[in-house]
Amino acid sequence: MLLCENITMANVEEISSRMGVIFPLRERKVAEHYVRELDIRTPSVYQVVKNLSGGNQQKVVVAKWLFRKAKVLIFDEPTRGIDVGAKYAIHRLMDQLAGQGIGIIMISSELPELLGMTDRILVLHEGRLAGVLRTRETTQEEILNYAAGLVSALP
Amino acid sequence: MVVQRFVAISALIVLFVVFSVTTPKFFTVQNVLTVGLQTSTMAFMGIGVTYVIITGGIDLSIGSVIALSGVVAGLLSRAGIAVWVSFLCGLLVAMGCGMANGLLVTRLSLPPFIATLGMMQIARGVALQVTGARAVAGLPEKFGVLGNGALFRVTALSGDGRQVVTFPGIPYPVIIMVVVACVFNFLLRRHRIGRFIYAVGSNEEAARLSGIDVSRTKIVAYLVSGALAGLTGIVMMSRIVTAQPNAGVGYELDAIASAVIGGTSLMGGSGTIAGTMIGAFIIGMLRNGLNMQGVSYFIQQIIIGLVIIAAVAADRLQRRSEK
Repeated sequence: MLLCENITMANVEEISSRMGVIFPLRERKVAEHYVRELDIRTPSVYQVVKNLSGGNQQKVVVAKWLFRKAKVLIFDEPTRGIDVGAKYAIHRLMDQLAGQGIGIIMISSELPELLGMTDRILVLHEGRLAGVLRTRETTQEEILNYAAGLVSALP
Repeated sequence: MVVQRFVAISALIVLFVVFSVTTPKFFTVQNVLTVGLQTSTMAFMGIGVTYVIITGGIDLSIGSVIALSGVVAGLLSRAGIAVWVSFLCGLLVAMGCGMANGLLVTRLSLPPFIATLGMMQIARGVALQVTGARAVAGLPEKFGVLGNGALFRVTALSGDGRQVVTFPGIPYPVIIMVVVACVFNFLLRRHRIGRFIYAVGSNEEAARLSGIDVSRTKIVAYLVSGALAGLTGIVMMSRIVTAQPNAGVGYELDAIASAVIGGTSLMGGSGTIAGTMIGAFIIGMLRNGLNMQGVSYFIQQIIIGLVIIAAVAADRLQRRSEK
């Protein structure tokens, strides 16, 4: 499907009439807005998303939820398996969104990423919350202790 | 897919030209309207099945639903109920079958192939049972107006007092075909439901995660397929002013062929009404032209089979070369 179609997918009501007829012009404007906002590299908003790079595809997904006016975004392993440049772009995007007041929950198993990006870290052990740490005051070792179940801050 | 459509439309034009040149009576107003008439039923079915295939499913029950809807309309009409009411009832029964298909696929998570295969047998069985496997004859004349009537038909009195048809008029089924094609094309391209249908077919999980009601979307697709199969049945039976419980056997395959030749992928996620119409006309024109050339029905079948294979093969090769 096309880029503009993907961006509006979670909120089609906003670009269509009450009877359900879609306004192509409105859709294009929305897509162009997010392409600018998130710096999505694409020849046009009518590009087939499959042909975009992985990092840009992720931006399309983020745009989809921004258009839905999501207040909280959950990123599940957002940088696994993508190249360094795309990784940096996603991190910058998350920072940007957090700065705009959107709550960001990032699920990650990469400790350096967690320590570099977050304000708080919730560590889970065997499906249960083991501890809530302040990123500024914690270390990799402490996080791992909680993750391995050697320490528990909660009963 | 765009290339596929280009190939299909040029094939259509080539066929038209070849037949016009080699067969004297092909390129006449009368024959063009005949082709339109014959293709109209295939177009209805093709459009319906296109909706279903785009969602990633299939509908094998079309042929049986055609028979059932026609039979219902015929029996009611013979029992004295107004013709247009009987037609409506036939249509509703067909939509009921479509709804059932949709529920089987969504609620019971049955593979569409299995669900519609079962419906195919059930609908056929019901049609045969309620008619005692006999054609429903003795239908009022009004029953035949839909299938045989035409707009702008001009008749005149010839020199010796006979009525001569100077312009056969545009058959009602052709008009309906144009309207149906336009409406369902619009829905697919510019309406929310069309967007959802493509999304579900493209990546069902992603669609679900994006908040699209996947079940409802699929049910709508099967409803459309059922409704259009019902329309086909009514038009077909109206043409011969008889309701045949044995009608439509194997028609679902022609419908699927039209869609596939027109560029609809059986994997789901792609396909257009325009493409399906082209596919339907290719088959319709082939049948018509070959008939005029005196080619046996069975050889026609072989040729159409080859065309289907060639159409999909061309699409595959083109996709591979793109990579």
